[in-house]
Amino acid sequence: MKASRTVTPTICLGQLDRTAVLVLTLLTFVTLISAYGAALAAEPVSASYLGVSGDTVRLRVTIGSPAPQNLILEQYLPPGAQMIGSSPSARQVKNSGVVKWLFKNISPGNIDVSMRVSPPAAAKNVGGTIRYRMPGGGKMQELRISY
Amino acid sequence: MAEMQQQGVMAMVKIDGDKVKLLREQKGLTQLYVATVVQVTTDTISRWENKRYPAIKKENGLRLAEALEVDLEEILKIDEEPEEPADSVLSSSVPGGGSRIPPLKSHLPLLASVFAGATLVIGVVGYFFLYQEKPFNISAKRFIPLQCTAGQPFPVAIEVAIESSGPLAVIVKEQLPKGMTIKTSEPPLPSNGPKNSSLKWLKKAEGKALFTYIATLSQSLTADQPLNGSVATGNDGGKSFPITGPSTIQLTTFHWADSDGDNIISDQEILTVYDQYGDLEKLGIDVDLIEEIWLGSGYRWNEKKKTYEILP
Repeated sequence: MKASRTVTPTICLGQLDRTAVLVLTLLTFVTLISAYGAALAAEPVSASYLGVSGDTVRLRVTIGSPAPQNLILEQYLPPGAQMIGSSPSARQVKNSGVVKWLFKNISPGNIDVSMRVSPPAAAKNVGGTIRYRMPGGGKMQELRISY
Repeated sequence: MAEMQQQGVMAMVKIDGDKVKLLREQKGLTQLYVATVVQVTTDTISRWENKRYPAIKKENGLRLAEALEVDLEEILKIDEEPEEPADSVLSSSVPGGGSRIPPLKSHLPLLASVFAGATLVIGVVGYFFLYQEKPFNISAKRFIPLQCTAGQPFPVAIEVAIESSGPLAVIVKEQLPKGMTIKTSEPPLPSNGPKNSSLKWLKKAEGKALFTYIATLSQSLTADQPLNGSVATGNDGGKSFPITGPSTIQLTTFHWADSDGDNIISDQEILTVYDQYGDLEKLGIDVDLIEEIWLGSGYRWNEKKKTYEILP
């Protein structure tokens, strides 16, 4: 007569830890991907300064999809500075140092803007914002232009 | 041939009234809808269907086919070919003038049965194919300023959202209250203007379509006497849906683009102007004035001159 032997399945502590780490890693990965996707979907516009060379400051506005229909760009000059030219032409230059552009019927892609400033040293201290209404919902968005 | 030329001037086509009626009924379209698309009266559609006027202008034929969502050829009358002698069809002779093969007449009952069976199968399959519900969703929303100045033009936009598998013909109607006068519209209205104080557009569209008109007011539009409109499509038996959104507007001394009535046009307000109402310059709205107010430090209404004065 053969002797029977019972085998009880066991998981050692080390194995459990590895499984937990794997699950946690996967969950973190999925969460990050979702958050990145949601961030991309929520912000159809981004803008950053490309750099300063001499008296010229250049910036790029990137329009995603779906694109807002229209967009306002505002640049703020430091006290005492003035704008001596821009491409495309600004819609308004105020004595207070606020320069405005209105971009109508925009579509996904890039809008490059360059601005010449006097004195040239002021070009490094220019700041700016973008304003637009969210496509679809119409909620107003304001975005600071990053360096 | 179902197509003919009359005196070398106007192309005419012969339509099959029975087919027209059958197609219209199969698609659940009313004579009124078809008449609207073709731009004729319902009596004319009735005459065409009852074969009392089988030759019609090719231009009308094309519009009729479009309304029925078929090609023109499908509603044309097919002229009957002269029948060939029965012998030439039903039998043939063996080369050399020998014996004749058995006439096809003997197979006729079988052929007729096969033909009838095939027709039945095609009919059943076709019925289910044609009558499958084509899913679509349609809605319309009106955008109107909160206020405007008496006699000064302001825009009204109706945004129609269509979710469908292809373009749909939509009819948008707007009933005009007393004291409202229409200046222009996009799509354009007929040259004789609105009929019976109502605007009506017909357009084939998918996705989003914008219907905009410019109006002036001599009195406020209140809840007792609001704008009232509807949108309908040829599908779903011509069922219409009300246009949602605001339907009243107050007469004030504020510019229509100054929605919060603070005598300035803010960034949000200028963006709303362009986002909601589309290409207003084309419709005769003075967008330069709106932009000048936006860029300035304010404005005021001059009652004597009937103009808005921009504050420096």
